[in-house]
Amino acid sequence: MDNVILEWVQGPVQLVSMYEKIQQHSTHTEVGALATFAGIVRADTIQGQVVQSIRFTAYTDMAMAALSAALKSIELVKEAHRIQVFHSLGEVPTGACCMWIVVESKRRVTALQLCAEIVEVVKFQLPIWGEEIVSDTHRYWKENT
Amino acid sequence: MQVYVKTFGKITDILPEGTVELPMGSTVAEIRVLLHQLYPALQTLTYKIAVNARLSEETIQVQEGDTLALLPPYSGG
Repeated sequence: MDNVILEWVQGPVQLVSMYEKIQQHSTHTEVGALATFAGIVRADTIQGQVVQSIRFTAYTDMAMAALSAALKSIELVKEAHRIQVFHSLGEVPTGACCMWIVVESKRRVTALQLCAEIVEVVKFQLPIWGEEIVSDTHRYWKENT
Repeated sequence: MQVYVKTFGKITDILPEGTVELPMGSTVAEIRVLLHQLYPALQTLTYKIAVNARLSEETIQVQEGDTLALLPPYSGG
């Protein structure tokens, strides 16, 4: 899948620089729709303590193959011009972006639907783990729902 | 034979990453049983096993020098 990019970002995903990256590709005039999704670290409360940050780890050697395998089962992928997934590694404070998905396609319906489906793929099918840090001494392994 | 075991997520709280000595021809299922004997806390967790970065069937025989990864439920995003 030459049109699928998975990129790891150390720390928070900087959205401003991400949008600049998109701007550089605005010469792709066959693209009529670009949908994005940003996942933000939320200050949940766990056992009375507020999450300060999430520390992400991943099995990076396996992740691209897992993403490709998951995308093969999604029919709409064939209509995508390009799919980009950016995910943080390391610590990301609350309020910052930890995941950014960009889907480009000819038509808006494809881009929007596919973007939503890829969010689920990243959360449940890619070997990534989040550890919610609530204090210097307490942390909890995140569980996706 | 020796294999390298990688750990991720909450499994890192139970066992360290490193080389493990196993009987030649061990299957993934047999390795799971052995790990549960060595680290009983693992029995309480749900996890998949990847061999050389590919999710593996329980019946697959592991080879000398392979890398096993213990993968609890994913929680990215």
